Amino acid sequence: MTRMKKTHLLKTEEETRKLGGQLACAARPGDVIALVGDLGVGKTTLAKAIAAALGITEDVTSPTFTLLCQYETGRLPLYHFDVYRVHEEDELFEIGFQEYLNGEGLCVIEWADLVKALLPPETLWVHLTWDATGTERICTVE
Amino acid sequence: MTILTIETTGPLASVALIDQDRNVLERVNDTRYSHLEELVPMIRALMSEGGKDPEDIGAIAVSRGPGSFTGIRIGMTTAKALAQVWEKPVIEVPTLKSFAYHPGIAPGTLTVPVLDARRNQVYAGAYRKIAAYQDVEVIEEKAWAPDEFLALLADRQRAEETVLFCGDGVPVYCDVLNRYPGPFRFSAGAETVQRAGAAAQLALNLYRDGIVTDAFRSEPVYLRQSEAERKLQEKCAK
Amino acid sequence: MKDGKHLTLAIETSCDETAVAVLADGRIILSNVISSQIDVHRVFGGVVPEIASRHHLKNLNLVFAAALDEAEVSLQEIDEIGVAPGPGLAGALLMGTAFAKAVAFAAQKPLVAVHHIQAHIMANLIEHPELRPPFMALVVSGGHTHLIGVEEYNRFRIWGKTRDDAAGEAFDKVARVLGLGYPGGPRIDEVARQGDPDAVPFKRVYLEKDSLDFSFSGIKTGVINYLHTQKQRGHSVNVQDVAAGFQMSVVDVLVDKAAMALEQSGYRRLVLAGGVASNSMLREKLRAACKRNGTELYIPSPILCTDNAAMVACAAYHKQRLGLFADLYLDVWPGLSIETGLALLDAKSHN
Repeated sequence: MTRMKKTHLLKTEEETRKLGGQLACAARPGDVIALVGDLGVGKTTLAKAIAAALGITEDVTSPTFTLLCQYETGRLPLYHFDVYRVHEEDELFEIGFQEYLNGEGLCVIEWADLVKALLPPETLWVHLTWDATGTERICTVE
Repeated sequence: MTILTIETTGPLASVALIDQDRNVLERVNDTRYSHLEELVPMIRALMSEGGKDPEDIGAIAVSRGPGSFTGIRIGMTTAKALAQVWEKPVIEVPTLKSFAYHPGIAPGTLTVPVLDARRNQVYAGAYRKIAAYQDVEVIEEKAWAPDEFLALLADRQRAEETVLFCGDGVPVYCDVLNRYPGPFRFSAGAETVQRAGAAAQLALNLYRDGIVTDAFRSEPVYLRQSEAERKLQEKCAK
Repeated sequence: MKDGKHLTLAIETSCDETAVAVLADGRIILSNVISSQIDVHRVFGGVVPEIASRHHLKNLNLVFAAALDEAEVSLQEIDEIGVAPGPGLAGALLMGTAFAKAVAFAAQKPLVAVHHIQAHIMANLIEHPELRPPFMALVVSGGHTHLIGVEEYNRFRIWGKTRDDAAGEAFDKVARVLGLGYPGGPRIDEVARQGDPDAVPFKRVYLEKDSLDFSFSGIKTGVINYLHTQKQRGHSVNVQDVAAGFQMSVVDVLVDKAAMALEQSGYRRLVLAGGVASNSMLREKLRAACKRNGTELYIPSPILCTDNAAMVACAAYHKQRLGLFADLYLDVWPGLSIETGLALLDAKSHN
């Protein structure tokens, strides 16, 4: 199956929410969504939108320090990772990362470009960048 | 002298005691994937049932992998802790090889354990059982592409022997396995999965051959490429 | 027991650190070994440490040996084994818990299970043995921001928590965008001292009236937006002022909410815990606020603020005094909430 690249322009938080909804609806058990982009560009906002669309009612907090926050109250279990603080991929393996990727939930991984080699080929890559004016976000999904 | 054996690499945890005469006392947990909860209570119950104290234990054997990463870690951590506190050596038992030591497998069988390694790969090896407690390695353990492994197996299988496919990879890859050209059968009963009783027999061999280590140095075998190895491979490919 | 002192050994495998500690009488640290800080020149059982980050399976035996060695006690002299089986990362917790259970069984010692955040709070009892419940705890770190009422040694209630970023996390992220490096909290603390906190004010987010919850992602976004805007206009940025302004907007919210929590709960003691507890502005403003309203304030030293096993040992010590032990069926609880968690960790009888 050839992978298609699709670009969205996200002007408002509402548009980010819509995109999160689309991603959540399409998600199947075992799927992996990789979020890539600079600090502040909105990776966590998009992750929260995905969580909300899955029906998760708990507060979705940032997993930068804990590496993982997991939520069981939605349509699918959600495993929300932030791997910014990980220096070596093997460290992640040792604390059970692989088991989540092989699991029955949806994995959403912020800063996923840092651990590319660990991710399955079917991973959906979502790149977020600022546009030229610095006010809007460009999102490409492949 | 008794060896305590821990097996947590598959869905059911089991523990066993084996003595010098190869008598085995085994306990198997009937709940899938509750290794952390049940392992230490199982060991306690086993030692009580067998009337054994720490002084009676000569070594701690542990099934070292491949298999479930979490399971391997629970068994290994527990074994290393026991070995450190009781000051006993550790025997690292190769999980795939231990399948050949199931008492129900007759000598002359080419034992082929196949474990699901995901992403269309299997952890597999092949072991010719030549006596009740002896095997010869025919294919080394590795993470294989199923077709590649089976082609090699067909090449190495002898005319008069039957291949016995066992392990949790069998139901997952049964389509591919069913196309295997040589004579084979699928396992039924105890030899379908990892068991401490089988691992214990292999552990006794290793112990007698002096292949032991200690609490600090013992480590698991995941059969996955480490980051360092992957980077080296990428570098060489360029 | 040794020299008349009750000895607790505790094991902690949070996602980052492998740690083991030996504590005497719940307050004297005989050893507090943390894997990232281990002395690589020492030899334990003939093995030289080769510590790898987050490799708990590899590190545990060494860290355990080092803790006993440094404390100069034998395992036989230890009275109980403490462990925190949650909350945290399941894959990391399971190794510390498996190790603790095996040690407890092998050495025939009782096992005590404590909640990880409970341990952070109890760290204060190590240095302030006169501290007794009831008190309010402000737990602020990279991973947590909570206001927790400690009614008794083993009875906790959450009064407030963050709805998005933890305070420590906001510090780290802002430090990054300001180019200050890691760890962010201490860097911002340092740099902010030369800055004017009123020069670049940032919005303080209090949420609903009377709410004791926190929200810091807005402040973080505020800083990022400010930097963007300044860059676009071609204006330079005074890093010290931004750091000072940001820090004050976080500290003010923490201090105000802590004061509100004290008022709402009626407690007269406030305890600070977690990595951000070492922030100088937070300490200063809390001291001032507590002095104003006659609240006793307790602040731990830095080594006890980040993840370590001594705090787990302290919590375990106080729990065993209440006769609360775990059995060998102990499992990990990665999502353990503090309210429901404490009862779950206590002994269930098995044969």
